[in-house]
Amino acid sequence: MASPVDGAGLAVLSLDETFHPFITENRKPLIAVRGLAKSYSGSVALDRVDLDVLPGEFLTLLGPSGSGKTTLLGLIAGIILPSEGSIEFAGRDISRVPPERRDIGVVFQNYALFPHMTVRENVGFPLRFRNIAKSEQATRIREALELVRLDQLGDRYPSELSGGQQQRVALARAIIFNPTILLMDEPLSALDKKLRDHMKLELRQLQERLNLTIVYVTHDQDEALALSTRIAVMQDGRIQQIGSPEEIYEHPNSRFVADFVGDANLINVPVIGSQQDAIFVQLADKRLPIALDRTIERRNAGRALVLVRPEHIMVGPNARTLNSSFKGRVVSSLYEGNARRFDIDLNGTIISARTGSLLSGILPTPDEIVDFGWHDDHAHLVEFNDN
Amino acid sequence: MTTNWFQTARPDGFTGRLGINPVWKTAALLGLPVIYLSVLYLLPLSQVLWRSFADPHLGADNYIRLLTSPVYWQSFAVTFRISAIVAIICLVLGYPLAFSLTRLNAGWRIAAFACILVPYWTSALVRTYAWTVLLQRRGIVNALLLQLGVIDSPLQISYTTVGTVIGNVHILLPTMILTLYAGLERVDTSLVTAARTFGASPRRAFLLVFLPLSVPAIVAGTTLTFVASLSSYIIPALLGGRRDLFVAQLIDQQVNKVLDVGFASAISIALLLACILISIAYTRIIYQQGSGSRVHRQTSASASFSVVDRLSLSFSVAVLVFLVLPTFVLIPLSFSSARYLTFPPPGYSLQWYQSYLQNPAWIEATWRSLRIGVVSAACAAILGTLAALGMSRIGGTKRYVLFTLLLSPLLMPNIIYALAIYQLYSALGLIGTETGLVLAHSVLGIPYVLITVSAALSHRDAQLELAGRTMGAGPTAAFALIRFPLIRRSVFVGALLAFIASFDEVIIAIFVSGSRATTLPKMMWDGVTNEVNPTISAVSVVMIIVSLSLFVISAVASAQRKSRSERR
Repeated sequence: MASPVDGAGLAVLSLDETFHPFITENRKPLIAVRGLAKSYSGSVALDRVDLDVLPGEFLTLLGPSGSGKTTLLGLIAGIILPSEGSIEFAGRDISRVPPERRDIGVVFQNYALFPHMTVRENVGFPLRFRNIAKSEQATRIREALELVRLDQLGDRYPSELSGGQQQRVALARAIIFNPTILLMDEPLSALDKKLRDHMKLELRQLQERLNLTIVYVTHDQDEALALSTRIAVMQDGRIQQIGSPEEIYEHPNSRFVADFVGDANLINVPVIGSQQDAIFVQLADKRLPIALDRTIERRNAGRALVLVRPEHIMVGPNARTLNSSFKGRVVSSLYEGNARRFDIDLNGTIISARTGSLLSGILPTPDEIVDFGWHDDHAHLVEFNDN
Repeated sequence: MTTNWFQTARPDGFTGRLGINPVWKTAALLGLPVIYLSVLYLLPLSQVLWRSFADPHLGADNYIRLLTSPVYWQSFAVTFRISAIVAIICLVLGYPLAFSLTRLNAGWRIAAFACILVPYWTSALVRTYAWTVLLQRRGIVNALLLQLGVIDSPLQISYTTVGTVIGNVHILLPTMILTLYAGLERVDTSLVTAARTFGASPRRAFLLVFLPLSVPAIVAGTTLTFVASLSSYIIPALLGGRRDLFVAQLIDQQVNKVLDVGFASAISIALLLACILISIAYTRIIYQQGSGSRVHRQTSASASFSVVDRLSLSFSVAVLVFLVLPTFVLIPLSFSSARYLTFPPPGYSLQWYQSYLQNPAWIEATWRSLRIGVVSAACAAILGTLAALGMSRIGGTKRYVLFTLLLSPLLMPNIIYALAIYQLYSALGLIGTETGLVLAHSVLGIPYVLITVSAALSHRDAQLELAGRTMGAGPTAAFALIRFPLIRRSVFVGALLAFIASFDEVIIAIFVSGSRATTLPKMMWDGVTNEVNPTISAVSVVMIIVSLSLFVISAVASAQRKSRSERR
């Protein structure tokens, strides 16, 4: 089960799966990616990645553009040839197998519907290559269209459909042949926000109903957090961290992951002491305990980067009761509809807080000195720094 | 950087896009067209180069003769002088029209384009023939001028420099207008609006902003028409004066009358060199101007030149009339009841169509031309499509070199290619065969197919093909079911254009059809040069109808293709 950890010292960034209870369950991976790399005339798109895709999971590759997530998906689909490494499919190396013999369903970013075929012909396209009787084909097309609730539109051409309908045609076409795995490349990015939220829900339900294994690519963290059983955060052609949405959000293992997933206050503070399972850091006049979790390797360093999420910060007199409580000057106050965001100056460090309802009912105004703070276990160690 | 597998924005752009397609497939696609052109195009051309030094004996004798005897370089001088005049007149006539085109609304623009493209796709031989009729001593132009009292006695226009200039301007004006239009359309008119807000009058805004920005288009159009005029053959031969011997005529004379192929080769190389040097100079100027920026056209700016507009609009209408009308004089003429060419016809009859249809030689030539056109268009369609598919998979210098090679038959002076292929066919015994004509015409047709198909091959279609692969379609099925249906219409349009090019082609036919494989244009040519025979008017009308109906079909087909791609 354990994947090889490449290069000593990089252990922090590696995919050492023993940290993650979810994967240690004794399930054989459906797809095992080993040392997979792709470079284009010198520039590296994917840098020796290891990854296991487990049956029935919804695995999201999350990262900014250029992070290699789409390349990784393309390699699994078989429409890009790897420079090195292998992709194993149930124990068999398929990295040189052409895409038509991989049995993988793909939903493309802009759907890739065939403009010269009707919805029915598009959805039935994969069946034409699978030795299925005509009558059986018709039945399956009807079922697939019913599944995505497009049974009335079978004779339309893609250009006559709305974006959401096109998306559903693409989905039906990708699952009609019961592929072992479904790959989705930013399938919701072309839809407006309302429709996107709706499709998220439908997609999740569909995945559970059909027990699909999905590898999903997105740059949208909300999508990733809402849909996934696991998220792999990618940067510069590598997987920076892999874990459940909670792990990624609550225990990011690097400044990049903390910053990329959700809003983050990343505070660089001096380390002033340590004990068995915690270190102590200095912030303003307070000595704060920070629990050590297993994602970060313990070492002796002068400073530490500490993460506090804005929504975990309390503002107002009630904050005084907390161990980690401070006084600071309000720099700005922004109304965001469902919340209000304060930027507070704490001895030169700006800390953002997002509050749904104010504790005191009194609205702090800019230049006012306010109390704010957080529960000790809402401060997380992200990385050690030497300076 | 890579949000899409198929458009990997890597430095070399194309290699990453089709990540699973091995190099040998690209080579297989490009192999056939490249070999075809090497044998039927590069080899004969290099043979011309070789013979210019080796015939009758090794050395630079031919070139020394060319440079030392005034008869020959005077022919070059005449050709250059007349071509310069032609290019300038084309510019003067074409610029206001191209300018108006950029400001017309879509409906009027289509109408104006029809007036430009109809003559563009009408056989040059037919158009020149129309001018020989118009410019005769007792022709319409003289009659009109006499009637208006401009002149007292008929002018001699045919067989003079003026005749050559008028004919050449008429043939090349569409090229000038289309080139200018492509450039002017890119000029950012919001800059003119900006100039207006700073206080410039419409005229000053035009002179100080728009005109300087349109210089690249002017250079491009002038160069193209100049180079095309340099190699013109039909027009000076039919309309030109005895003393204005064009270089192309000189080549023809050396081959067909003097039988000095070596010297003809040397003249051809000199002409080709001139064309290439001018084209290179032009590319340099264009690059220095840095005309690469595409801009969004602003509709609000259309008010900027209202004064200039009205002037240029009426001028443009006159130019369009000049483009379209002359050719149509042949229609009433073909129904004339007179036994000789006279306009207006004294009465109407079908006698000339009867004499066309009852002459087995004409009918045979017509069928032969149709046959050659269909087969050469089919060859061009296959080879051009293969080339376009192969080209879409490569990038960088390789792509540039191949494009230049594959498109160059379009710009190659036909007289030079005719001489080259004549030499090859003499050696192979292909003179006077339909096979020979099919092969040569298909070389001319490949660029048309390459252009239309390349334009239709989008990144998106490559993506769709790969999408089909993930659903189980093998390479062949993915091509047959997805890729090809998406380019089918463009292949068809390219093939139609290749057919028209073959059907109208006359210079190669003059050189290689011999007496056994006379094509329709070749037979017309013989008729025009030997005697004045109104049957030719009827044949011309037949040719116009064939070319134009095919052109209309292709225009409709490509319009449908566009609307399809817009919908998706």
